Amino acid sequence: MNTLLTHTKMELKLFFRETLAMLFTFIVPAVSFVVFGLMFKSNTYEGGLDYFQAYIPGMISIIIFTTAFFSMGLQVVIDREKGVYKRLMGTPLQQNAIFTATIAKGFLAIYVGAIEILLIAKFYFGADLTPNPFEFFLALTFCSVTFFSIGFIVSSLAKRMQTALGIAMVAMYPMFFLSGATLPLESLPDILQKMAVAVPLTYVVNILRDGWNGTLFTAGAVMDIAVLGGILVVSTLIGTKFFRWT
Amino acid sequence: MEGTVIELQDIHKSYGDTKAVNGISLTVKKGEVMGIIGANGAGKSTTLEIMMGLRRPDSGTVKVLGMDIKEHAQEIKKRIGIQLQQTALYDRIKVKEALELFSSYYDKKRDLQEIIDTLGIRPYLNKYVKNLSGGWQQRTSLALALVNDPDIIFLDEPTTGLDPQARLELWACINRYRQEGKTILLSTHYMDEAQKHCDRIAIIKKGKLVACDRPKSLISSLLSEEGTMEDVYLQVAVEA
Repeated sequence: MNTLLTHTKMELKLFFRETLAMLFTFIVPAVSFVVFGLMFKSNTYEGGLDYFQAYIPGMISIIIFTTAFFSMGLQVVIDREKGVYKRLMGTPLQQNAIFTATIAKGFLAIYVGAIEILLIAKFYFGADLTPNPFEFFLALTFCSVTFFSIGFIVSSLAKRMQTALGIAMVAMYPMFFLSGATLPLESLPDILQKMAVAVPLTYVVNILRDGWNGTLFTAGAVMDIAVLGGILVVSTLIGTKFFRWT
Repeated sequence: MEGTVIELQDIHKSYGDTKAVNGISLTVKKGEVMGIIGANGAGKSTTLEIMMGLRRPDSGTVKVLGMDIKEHAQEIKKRIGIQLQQTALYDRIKVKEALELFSSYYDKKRDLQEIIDTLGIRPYLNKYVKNLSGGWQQRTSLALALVNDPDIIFLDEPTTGLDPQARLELWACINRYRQEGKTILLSTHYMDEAQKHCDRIAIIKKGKLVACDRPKSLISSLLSEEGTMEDVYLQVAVEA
């Protein structure tokens, strides 16, 4: 237990030293949220949502994506390529301790990033936060786990750091711009709106909005939850089949 | 056998069509410094990594400290220390943090301060491992191999890429632990250090053990008394 705790603490410490991770988790989403907020805070979006109801969940979706792909998927490939895992296999440390530490890091990044957005919304913009904190927390956790499993695929299929980075960069554009996380989907041309269906983050944005606005347990959310659930199952299977520690 | 700490019996290991290890049997006695030499790709690292429990042999048995490695891998890992060819550490970890982290993995611990002073790494404790020179990185890796006060220390090419002074200094460190009676297994490309420091040398060629004896015996059995390990290497380990 003590070993697991020390290892996890170190994993978290190393995370806070990654400049790129800090940038993508705590700077880019927060700055985007502020800038868009200054421009669009009086807009109304699809379903009658105001800026905060639509884009607090939106920006947190971005954090989920960057955490899963960069801080988890890519970082695992970097550590494996450096031989870190091989070295750890030579110690009594159990593999599931490494796994647990990585998951703990993912949750920490997302929860802290989310709290940062909430604080900005409340204290900078004076916006109302959700009356459904439990529903939102549930949605956030479910979406996070789903994306962890996609990050797990990245670290299973990419052998080299460059490959993992390439996958993350290529995935970034549709995830950022075709999911509704940043640009309102209804403002996009028809063809791009259709493409959004194939972008996993679209479902995260939808579910987080459902959680935030208290519609998580309604019929409208079933489809999104089912799609993410399916992704979770399939990704976990693929990841488990192809993942190698060394 | 009395005092045997490692016993390999007819070990085979292939990667696809390549036979990395092709029937190696070897015993190492307690307190011995055993050098493993051979060309690149001969199977040195694979053999070492099988003994470390990092790779499973396709066939053959491996006993370390009297225990079968298949059944007691976890027990064995507690009592060995390893150093890999790569430094194999997180990019952003500091020397001190790495030592404390690795120490936390074991129940049995050697005093970290003593290791730090013996290896002379105190001035570098707050530096990132990856920013250190090769010699200091290797010392850090050696320190990590010692945190559990292991019975056997495995070192995969510990001196490769080091300048002559750093090599000498690293050997001074290794020899200190030899004097404590630790068993040390290492691979190297430097025949002078193999001859000078190893009690016995195992020569591996294309996955087979072609010779294993004291350096002097190897030299005298193959050559005149004035020969060196380099001559032995060129005659035995190199493909015709």
